This record gives sequence, C-alpha cells and structure tokens, in this order.
Amino acid sequence: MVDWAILPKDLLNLISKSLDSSFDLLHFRSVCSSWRSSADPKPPLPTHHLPILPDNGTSLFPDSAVGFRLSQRSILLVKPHKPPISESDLFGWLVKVEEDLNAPRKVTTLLDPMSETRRSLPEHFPRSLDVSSFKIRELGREFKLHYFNTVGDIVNSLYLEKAVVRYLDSCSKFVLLTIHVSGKLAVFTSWDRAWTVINDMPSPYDDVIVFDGRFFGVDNNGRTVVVDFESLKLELVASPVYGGDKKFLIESCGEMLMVDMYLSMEEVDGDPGFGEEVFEHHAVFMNERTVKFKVFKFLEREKSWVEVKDLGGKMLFLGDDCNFTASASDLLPSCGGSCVFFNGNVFNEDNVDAMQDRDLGVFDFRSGKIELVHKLPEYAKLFWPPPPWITSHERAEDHPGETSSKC
Amino acid sequence: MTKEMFTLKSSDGFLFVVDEAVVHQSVTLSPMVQDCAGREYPINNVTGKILNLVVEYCKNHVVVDGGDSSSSSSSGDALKKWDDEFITQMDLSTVYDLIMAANYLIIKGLFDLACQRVADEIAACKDHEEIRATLGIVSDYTAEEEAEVLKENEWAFD
Repeated sequence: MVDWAILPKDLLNLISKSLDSSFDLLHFRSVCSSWRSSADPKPPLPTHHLPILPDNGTSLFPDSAVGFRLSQRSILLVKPHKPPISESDLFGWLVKVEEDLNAPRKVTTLLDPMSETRRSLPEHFPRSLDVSSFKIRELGREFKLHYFNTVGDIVNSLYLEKAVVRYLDSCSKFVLLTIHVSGKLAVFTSWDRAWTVINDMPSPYDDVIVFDGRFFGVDNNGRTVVVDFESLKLELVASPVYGGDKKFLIESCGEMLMVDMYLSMEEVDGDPGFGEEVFEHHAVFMNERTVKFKVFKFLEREKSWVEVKDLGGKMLFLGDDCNFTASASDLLPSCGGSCVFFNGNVFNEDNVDAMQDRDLGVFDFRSGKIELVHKLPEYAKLFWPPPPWITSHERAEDHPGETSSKC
Repeated sequence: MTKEMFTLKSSDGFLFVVDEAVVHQSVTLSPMVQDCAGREYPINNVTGKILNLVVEYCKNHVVVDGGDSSSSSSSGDALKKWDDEFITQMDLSTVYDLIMAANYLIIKGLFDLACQRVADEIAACKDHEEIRATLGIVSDYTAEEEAEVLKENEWAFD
C-alpha cells in the first residue's frame, strides 16, 4: 500500500500545479500537513493603486479623485455536492465574490455578478460559510477601477468602462487595458506606472477582453484589434460587421464570441406625465430599449466575425464589468440554454410609460423574445436570494475543531 | 541496419530488452547508449511490474515520435487515446509507482501523464475529506494548522 502523504514534495507540487481550479487547489492544501506545505496557495488577488487616467480636459471625474484603486473579483458558479431532492432546487447560484485581504480578518463580500450592487445578506444567513461544502467553479474574473480621494476612500465611481488585466510573471507585474473616456483604448503598465492612450480609433471602442493570452478590443462597428502592450500598436484581426448599437466580447468554450446589442429609439405612445418640452428632451433616453441580439464567432484565419445562429446549451451573461458564460446543463438543466442576460432598458408592459431604470433582462435566442429577469422566477433564482441548499449546510463556526465538512 | 538493443534489469531481477529509441526517451538512461550495448543495465528502484509499464509507454511513443514531423493529427489523436486508456486503467497505487519511476528515469511525457491522472482524481473528489478517503491519507494537522485550514476554506462576511 503506497503512502501518498510521503510522496516527495517537489512531485506533490507538480501535481498541485496540474489542478485547473483554485478550489481544487484549496482542497489539495487541506488534505494533510505535507500536502499543504507542498502546494503554493492560490496567489491572493491583490488590489493595486493606479495614477489617474488623463482625460481630454473635460472633467468627467470628481475633483477629489487622486487615483484609481484596482480591485479584482471572481464570478462563481456555486452548486451543492449532492443534487438536491427537489428538482426545482436543481440549479446553480451565480455570485460575485471580493475578498479583502487588507482587513485584519479576511472579509468576503458578495456582489451581484452583473453589476456593482453589493448583496445584503438575509437576516438568518450565516455569518460565514465553509467553502468546501460546495462545488465551486470560477466562471470569470472581473477587474474594477474605482476612483479614490486623498483620504483613501472610494469616490462614488463614475468610471464606467471595462478594464481587463494580464499578469506577467508575478502578481505585481501587470498590464491593464481599458477604454478611455474619449472612446480610445488606454493601456497601463505597472512597472513604470504609465498610462498610454492609443490614438488609433476610427470608431469608439465598446469592449475589451483577454482571450488566448492576448488583449482584444472591439469598436462600435465590430472592427476588432489585438493590442500589443509593448509596441502599443493595434493589429486589425477582424473587419467590422456594423449591425447593432453596442458590441460585447465574451469567451465561451475556448472560442471568442461577439454579442451585438440592438437598441431601438422608438417614441413612446401615450402620456408620460411630463411637460411637453421635458418629454422631447428625454425622448431618446426613455426609449432606448434593447430589442434584439446577434452573436458572432471569431474566425482568426479569415479575419472575420461569422454569425452564429444557435447558441446550443450556452447561457451568455453581459455584466457591467465582466462577461461570462455558463452551460445550461451546469447551471440550470431545466432551461434549454441559448440565452443572453444583459443590463439594459427592457420593455415592461406593466409600466409602459415610465422612465425605465436599467434592469436585468434576458434574451431568448431561439424565440427572439426579451423579458425582465425579475418576472421570470426560473432565472431570477440564479442570482438572489441564495438558494436554500446554501444555508442547509452546517456552518464552519459550528465545528471549530474540525476541518471536515458534512453535507 | 540492425538496431542496437539494450537490456534493462528491474530491482527484482526482470529483464527487458529494448531498442535505442526507447532508451533515449529517458534522460537518465540516454547516456548509457554509449557504454551499455549488450550488457545488463540495473535500474535499482523500479520493480518489474512498473518497468514493464514504462517500457510499454516508451515503445508506443517511439512509433509516432520517431515518425515524420508532419504526422497527421489523427495519429496524434490515436496516441492521446492510447495514453488515456493506458493511464486510466491503472489503479492509483500503480500510478504512484509510475510517478516515482518516471521521475527517476526522467521521462517527461509519462511523468506528466501520471501526474495529470492524480490531479484528475483529486478534482473529482468533492472536498479534502474525499481526497483523504480515496488515497488513504490520514489528517495530521496541528491545532494551529487546523485553524489555518478552516480559515482558508471560509468565506467570512462582514
């Protein structure tokens, strides 16, 4: 009988490096003393301070802002180890997690995966959760820039553009790509703490992504470039598709997809209750509804985007700061998949005339229909409140002497 | 052209006759090509059972690796399939011994294959308890380490 505990540490280390998931690594490190010391912990996601991005002279950020804080979050799919008894409970929980390692005791914050909203935990929710009692997979990593002031507090963020990061070598050396307020691409390199705004911009950029280890940016027309952070040159990798109004880049099953969001600017019928002039002034904003989506697949060799007619079992999520994918079989088996979740203005038949706030909507790729997620309990339950099986586990603090978890 | 043949002897006395192409896959054994043709080369820390598997792996990897550099993807796929079946049918004790042997003999492909099998086994376990049960490991933490492990496994909310 072999003794796995005494396998040489360098070999254990190599095995630990073959683990894809950081949660598997966590389990590895929890097995026994020798395994723990052989495997390097998942490097903590650091928070960085960056100097402010130069703007165009127009003060689009608060005067009190002196710099950016870059924080990182994980978007997770959480499921129970054992399938629940009731079929209606058979679904995954989507949550965004931020860990604050600067606090004396590590603090975990839960957020809405689609936006910046922090979750308030329900009253009877445990104050801590034993992560090993669930099956957890990371679906995406989000990078968020916040303005901060001289006192170090975060200023209510007006910075709305997507940021993506590539780490080189270690956690301290990185490159960040974002979209400048002018619509141009901007690159930040951590070693010289320098921002560079890249002037090449036939049309404003809509989204950025790290795919296949490279930075990609897509503009409003679908024209796609690769950004070389060393030369700061852009290389055209796909011709424009035109079409809709806003483009998103998303990775799914090893492929890069582009989602094209179509907005309509129809006038609203009926009496909105505003004075005539006010109505006219606001007409555009009130009626910018999301009406449909098209999805394209990236064909690198052909330097083009090819329209995808069927998403198969995939569910695409276009969050404010991160786009991520899940398969229906994994997340919500009762659903056929083939849908796109997004933040936007959705036609609400209950409240036709009201000025719409941005809401979470879902586009069914097969039927072409769009609906508000909060009207569809089957989808709403993926996000909040946490599913019943989260809290039916015993809490970590109930068993202070053990590292085991029970289902 | 007659191939040079080499004789490898396991720790428990089994003999394996292999050709140069097999020997060259082991960084440790490769130098022996100069001196050992015709003589028995002892491999003291690998048993016959394991050495047999090592030789089988290497023989299979000569056929494709020794082929032309423009080998079709289908033969690459076939090899991968062979590798998968090879490693999956083994029990974990054998995989353990294979890891040690491939490490000593420095056969990268085999070593990576065996490590990945273990990693896959670990990933299939739902938590560290199940890993312990599967591999027969007993937890030996100090109280301090236990507390650390608990903390690492915890989401603590404000």
